[in-house]
Amino acid sequence: MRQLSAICRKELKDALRDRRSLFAALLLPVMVGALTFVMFGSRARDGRQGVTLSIDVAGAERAPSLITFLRQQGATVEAAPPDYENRIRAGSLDAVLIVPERYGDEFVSARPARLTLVADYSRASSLTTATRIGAAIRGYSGQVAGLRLLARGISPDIAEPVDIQELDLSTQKSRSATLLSMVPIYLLVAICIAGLYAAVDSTAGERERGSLEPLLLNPVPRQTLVSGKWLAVATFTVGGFVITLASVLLALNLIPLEQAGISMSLGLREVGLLVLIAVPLALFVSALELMLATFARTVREGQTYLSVVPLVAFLPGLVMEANHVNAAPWMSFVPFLSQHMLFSSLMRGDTGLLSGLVMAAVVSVALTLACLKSTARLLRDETIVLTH
Amino acid sequence: MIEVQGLAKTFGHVIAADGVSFTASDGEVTGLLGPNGAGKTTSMRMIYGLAHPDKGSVWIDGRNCTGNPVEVAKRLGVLPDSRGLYPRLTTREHVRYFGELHGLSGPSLDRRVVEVIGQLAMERIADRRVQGFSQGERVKVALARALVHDPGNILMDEPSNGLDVMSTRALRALILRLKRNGKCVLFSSHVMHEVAAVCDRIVVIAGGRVVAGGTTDEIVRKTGKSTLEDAFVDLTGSPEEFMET
Repeated sequence: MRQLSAICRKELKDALRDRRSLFAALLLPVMVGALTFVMFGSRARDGRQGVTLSIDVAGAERAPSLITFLRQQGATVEAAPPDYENRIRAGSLDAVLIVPERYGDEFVSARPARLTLVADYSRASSLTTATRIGAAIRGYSGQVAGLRLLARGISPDIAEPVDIQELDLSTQKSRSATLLSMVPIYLLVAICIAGLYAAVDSTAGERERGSLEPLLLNPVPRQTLVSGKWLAVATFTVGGFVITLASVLLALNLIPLEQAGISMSLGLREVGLLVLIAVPLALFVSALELMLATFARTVREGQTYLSVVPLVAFLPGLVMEANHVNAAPWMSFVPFLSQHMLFSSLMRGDTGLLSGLVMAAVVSVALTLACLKSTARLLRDETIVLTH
Repeated sequence: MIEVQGLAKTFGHVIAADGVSFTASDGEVTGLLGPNGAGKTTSMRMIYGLAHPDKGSVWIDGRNCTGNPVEVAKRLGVLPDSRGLYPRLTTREHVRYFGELHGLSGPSLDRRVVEVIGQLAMERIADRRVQGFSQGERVKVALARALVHDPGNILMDEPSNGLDVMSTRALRALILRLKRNGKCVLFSSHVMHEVAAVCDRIVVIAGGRVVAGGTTDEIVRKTGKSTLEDAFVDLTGSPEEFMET
């Protein structure tokens, strides 16, 4: 027991002094949080535009009936600032509608009354706003044209040989579901990366430095040695996961999600369940990484082997979700996939699948023990111990 | 005391050790002398339990320790062929770590760490991280952690490899001090004058076999040569024999 804690403390101390290990466990989660913030944040802004169209108009007083029409359509109309061109270029203003002085005369005399729409089409939000303003004005134009034709005894349908009806099936809800499905992937990748460098350093690193042979000359059973190293790696893995989860939750809290049409209520209970799902997997991933990295003679080689782990972690779940394969009971037996499904269902607020939680944990713990046992066996193998 | 009986080991078609037998007694320095590739490191590894012998047995302090690395480790202090350190740990942390792994703790651990660091004159570098240490300093750290549990038997595989003159002299002094303290010291080398300078008994090994054993004088007399070097060349034979190993 004392040996176990000595090994674990030494590995933790060593890893905490290693910039790469620290980077993997601390900085990466913060970056994931920032990424979440940016992705969801931009969706939140798009969503805001979806709620009300705000139109900046220069010379609104020259086109009262147009303005009334736009307001009836639900748009808010504001006076454009004088330096609108610079503002649009700078990106702080999306689009401005300009009503020239002769607009009134042209309109009254039934000539095409010219309006100017100023926008920066290279920016997505400017393009969106301008397109919507354009559509609103074409609606007004069509209405006026219809009235004029009616006044001359002609059916307005004559002027409309084709009628396009747009039906946008992308609801806010489905778009937000796509975004939320990223969160389980973040969490899985965090679990795979947080302890990766610590695992490589304490196995392949020992071989590369030639410190494995002296280490094995201590009266420590191989199983104890492996367990101590595993405890240290698992500390990093669980720690990295918790920090990632915290940073993602913080990012989601900072964003006005309801404006993006995303409904997600992660209470204390859900967060607790997320941790409960993650910890057994984290224990397994730590043991798996230790085992795989023991085959490697150098740190670089070990990193190459382990770079596969994050992919294996989230690809099956991602493919399943992309193909709309529904969660099935057998998935509880598949590590990574089971946690992916559990994370996803929890994010959606669906607790029906949580019965699989126990099975997923049992599978993870069993695989953890198997990996630790075979790592200990590897450390009895001369070809691994004596070649470096 | 270390007794080795008929140790044999092959790697594929290569015979690394072919019935190696010798005894290293307490209070004596025993030198394992042989050319490169003679089977010294393999024999050492079989003694300290990281290589499994195909045949033969290892007795340490009268106990059969063959295939029991934990039992071996308690009785041996080893400077192995590879002596890698942890670059981010200090000298003191290295010594403490191995002390803890040997079951030391509390005041007895503190006392041993200070003692060993003093014995090897490492006070100046005790609290520095070992990254960037010279070769001599690195060997000292590796020796310190091997000696922290005050073992009765000390094995060193080519300890003077890569050391400068000053470090070699310090190493020689350490070996003689260990011997005075009644330890059994076994070290391997391919450098003849080094072995001649400190060893009470020499085991000459070539082609995986022990070809001679005894004091320097005995070996020289037995071969009928005038110097140890001539005797060594006579014993280890033609270069073709090296190739087999």
